[in-house]
Amino acid sequence: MADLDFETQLSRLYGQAPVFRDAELFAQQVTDKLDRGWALRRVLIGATGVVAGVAAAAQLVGARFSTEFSQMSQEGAQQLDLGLDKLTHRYDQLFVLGGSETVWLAVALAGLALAFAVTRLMDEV
Amino acid sequence: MGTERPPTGHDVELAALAAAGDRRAFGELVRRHGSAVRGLLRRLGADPATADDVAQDAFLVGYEQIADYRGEGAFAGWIKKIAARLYLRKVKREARFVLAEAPEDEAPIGSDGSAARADRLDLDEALKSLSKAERLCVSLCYGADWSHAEAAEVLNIPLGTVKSHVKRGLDKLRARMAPPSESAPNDSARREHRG
Repeated sequence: MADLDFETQLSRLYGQAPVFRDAELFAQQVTDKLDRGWALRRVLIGATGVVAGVAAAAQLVGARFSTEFSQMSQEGAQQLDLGLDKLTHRYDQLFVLGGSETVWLAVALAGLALAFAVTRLMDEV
Repeated sequence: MGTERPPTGHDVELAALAAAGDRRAFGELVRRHGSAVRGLLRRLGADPATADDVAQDAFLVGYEQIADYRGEGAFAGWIKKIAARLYLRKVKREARFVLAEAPEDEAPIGSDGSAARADRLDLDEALKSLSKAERLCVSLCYGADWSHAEAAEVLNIPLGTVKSHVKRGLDKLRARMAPPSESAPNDSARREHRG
């Protein structure tokens, strides 16, 4: 019986947390680390979004050039001049408001902006 | 957003908020249980700096795994188990060495003088009279609420070795902490069922 009492007392003593004068500082350090970890995660998410957006835009533009170039090869050398003209025209369209590539780029940039906004909002909330 | 008022409520509620991404709720849990975790690690034998480092890591791991805590037991017990595991992982090589030695009663048991009597209820002082292995096993079983079998598995030592470390540790603690009238017999049968 005395053993049980002693072990109960021992468990109770273990359950009593010691008092540390720097307890608040310790808690602050942990929450600071959590915040730093979250901030780092947010930056990584944002960076990943940027890289993905740039890659997607490059793919779009690259695919367009590639298609045009293969078409030109098939049509023959005599149409090279015509193809180049067409390609140049298409390329110029990139910088014309309302061109399809411009729309895609705008969508990609809007997506990036939205991703940043969402991560920022999550942090604020 | 707005004024920073610490969230209130039961640990389980705070844990649920933390699982939903509320870091301030988790901060309140750290505030409530930080000292208990730090204290346990020191009682396991960690020096203060190591104890604080491991305690911080335990809370960071706890935050990552907070969704696993569903309130079946006390949050303090849950986070203490994480801390104890992290500490053991950190010192496992040293712990194996110490535990493998299985030292006999090399640590002195306190005399019955007035100074010793003043220390009877001071667990931390009494723990100093235990060997490292005894201190580790007793604190795991009574402080982190591990069973003998759990301790044996994590420490990678035989169950009987854990039991004998606990028994010797309890005997020493009893000798230092029990009132003089209690000349306790050496038996720690209560924990046997845990193994």
